Amino acid sequence: MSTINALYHIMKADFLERVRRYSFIITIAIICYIAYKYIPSKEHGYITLSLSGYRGIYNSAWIGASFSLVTTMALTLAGFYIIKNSIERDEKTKVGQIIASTQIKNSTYIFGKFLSNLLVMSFMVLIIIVLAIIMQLVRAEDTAINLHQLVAPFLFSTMPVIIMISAVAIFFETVPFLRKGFGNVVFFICWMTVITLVTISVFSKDVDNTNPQIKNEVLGISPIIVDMVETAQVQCDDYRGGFQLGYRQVTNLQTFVWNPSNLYTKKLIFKRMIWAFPTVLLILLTTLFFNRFDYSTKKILKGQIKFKTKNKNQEYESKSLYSNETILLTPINSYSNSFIINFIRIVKGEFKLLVKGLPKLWYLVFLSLIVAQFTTPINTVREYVLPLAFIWPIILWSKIGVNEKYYQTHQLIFSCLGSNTLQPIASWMAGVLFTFLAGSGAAIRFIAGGLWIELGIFIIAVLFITSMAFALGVMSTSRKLFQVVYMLIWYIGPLNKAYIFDYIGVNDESVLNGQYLYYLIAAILLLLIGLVIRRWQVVHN
Amino acid sequence: MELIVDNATKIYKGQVKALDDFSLKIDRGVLGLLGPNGAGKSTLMRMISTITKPSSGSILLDNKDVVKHPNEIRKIIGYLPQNFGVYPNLNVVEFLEYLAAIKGINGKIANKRINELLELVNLSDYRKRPLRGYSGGMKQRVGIAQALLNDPKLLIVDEPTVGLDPEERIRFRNLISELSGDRIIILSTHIVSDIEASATDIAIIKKGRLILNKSPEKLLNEVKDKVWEGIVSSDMLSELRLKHLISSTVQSSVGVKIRIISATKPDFNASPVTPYLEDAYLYVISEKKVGTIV
Repeated sequence: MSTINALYHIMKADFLERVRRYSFIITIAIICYIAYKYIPSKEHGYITLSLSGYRGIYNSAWIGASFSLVTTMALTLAGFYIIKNSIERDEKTKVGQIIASTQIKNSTYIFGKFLSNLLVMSFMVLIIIVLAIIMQLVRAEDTAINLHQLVAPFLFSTMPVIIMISAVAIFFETVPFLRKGFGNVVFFICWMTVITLVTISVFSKDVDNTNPQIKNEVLGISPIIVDMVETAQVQCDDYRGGFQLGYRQVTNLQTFVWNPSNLYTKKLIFKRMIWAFPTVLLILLTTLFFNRFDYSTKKILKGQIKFKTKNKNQEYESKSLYSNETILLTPINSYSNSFIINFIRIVKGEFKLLVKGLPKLWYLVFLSLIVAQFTTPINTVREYVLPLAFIWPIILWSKIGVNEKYYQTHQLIFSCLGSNTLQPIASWMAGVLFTFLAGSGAAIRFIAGGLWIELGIFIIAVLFITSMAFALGVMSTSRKLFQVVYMLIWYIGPLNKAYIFDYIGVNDESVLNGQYLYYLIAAILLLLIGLVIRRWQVVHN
Repeated sequence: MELIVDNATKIYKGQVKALDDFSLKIDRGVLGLLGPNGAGKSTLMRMISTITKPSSGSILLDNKDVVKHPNEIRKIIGYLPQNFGVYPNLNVVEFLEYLAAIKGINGKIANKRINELLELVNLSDYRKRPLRGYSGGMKQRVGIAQALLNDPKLLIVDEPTVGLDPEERIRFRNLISELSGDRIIILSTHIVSDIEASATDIAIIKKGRLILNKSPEKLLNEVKDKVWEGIVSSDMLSELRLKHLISSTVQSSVGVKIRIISATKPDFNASPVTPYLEDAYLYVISEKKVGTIV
């Protein structure tokens, strides 16, 4: 009984602490906005779930399934980053120290945190279900609400994945090397891989998406896709296959009625339930990794000798007294005369803050990528090496604009003379210099080859990345927002060559369309937004 | 130099009033800011340090409004907040160099002063070690060093002795005494002994309001002939607590040695004794003047 009581209170306290934050309210507001835009009327001229220009009429089945599909895709990614701070919060607020000194078992604590994650995610799913009902009534193509058809896709497709993500988030928070920025990147790569594998698996024998197969895939989206495609093939004469999730303009929208009678069979539901087993295993594994807020044990896995001598968290023994000698302090009668020299000194300090503290392997890869920019053919540099060089330092960029709040030095810095503009500009400038360094090989090659447009795009990319890191860092006072947003843009743009998001100029189409000019404007705007917010923070801290 | 806090009020989110129509004139010397936890001491210091703005009222430095012109005070201030962090991957020299640059101190003078300050706070031997390995007390010493970096004319230290061991506390108090002179030093604490030796003036704050602002001598006069000591049995203690303001109790083989603050002689065998600043503070801060358990 006491275990259940403890579980209940861990879950409750964690849940309330999260949902009472402004950031959660903002998240819900964003979800509401996206939900509204996701179900456009016929007059809007675009669709978001398309079967080659066809869509189902907005009945409960279609609305429920289409919302479920996008919820599954979005919450597995964004949801992970939203909930991955449960144990971190206990550590930061020092509540973890109190918890660690109680009788609570590691397994109870971890399971309580998992339940809290699940509750937060379920709460968001519940809001989306309510929004789905509202949108069905607002668009009014079919106003009969069939709760079973509307809720079933959430229950059997979305929820099993949500349960799993709730456990994965706790796992990432517990395993030492996955706890921070590196873990965020690793999860994004895992997410991309899973999405790719599920897509390949569902459409394996079919490059044109005409004949998808139901598979026991983790996302549980194949039954919906298969039934929609099959129904369209029966009802729509000129439908030749195709299934697209995402914004798409249409001039001649056609609809059909999708009203599946038995989408989720008992067998299918059983298969979905099987995914609970890896979740349970993951929670058990997490319990083994959980160090009960004792970070002195961090290096034990690497060897006892190293731990004794080089433990990062070990405190030095210190002399306890102030100096016994009489120290005469040099009086300061004047301040720095040269604005530029002083600015350079702050930039130097910011640069050190940016680059210090990562493992040697990280610097090795960083240098290898610069060397590769000199040694590989220029087209390879543009298409592959530069995009890699512009994702590798993501953890460093995410420090820009965040350090003061992250390390709680803001009170020291905000009371200084240069805190209003000089220090934030210096922080941005250090980021620009570092980003130049990351792509310095490519820049030199562009200059040497007289590729002035490529060089211009490169410079804009440098400014854009740094400004975005600065603005999102200052705005959110967290490293996570930049990491997630930047990874998404990088994935869609430079990696998948979608020209709208191609800020590096990988795609010739983006260069021809002058896409880089938009990124130059974005860079300037983001820098200004960051500076204005920082100024506000200094004044209204 | 003169610092005036003029009718300052600070209301936080949720209508929590941290400072309520607070006025105080501060001249050269060490001002000891005393008050219980949550009295508004840190809010006042944060406002003077330009970290936060008053909801109403003004703060004037030599008749210049620092709320409108924060750089006027930032040029001359050294601030040690109650809670602050450091950059774990920098060493103490790099950290102080960085802050010196933000404070606008000339590079060469800053380097010289950093070396001297590291000697002063006895961190020279750890100058190349990353700050992540520093203990709480060492970090506090880094905080003290950064507050003194720019040779501040106005030094604000909020609970400076937290995390310091007893010897370090004594050294810190001496340091504050040595630093006073033609500076203004505002030292906030709820530990009376921290300011006993150095304060030239004492301001007592309670529930966001200024209760009293006097020299230590005048504050002690408040309890002149009002402090009594005697030995009582353990049984009598509870009864006396209801009647009198008790400053301290010490168990001994013959009973409990009790120190009472009372305008009249208590009804047990008590003798008048010389009052301490702590007695005076308790007397001023106590609402009922009786029943306080120390």
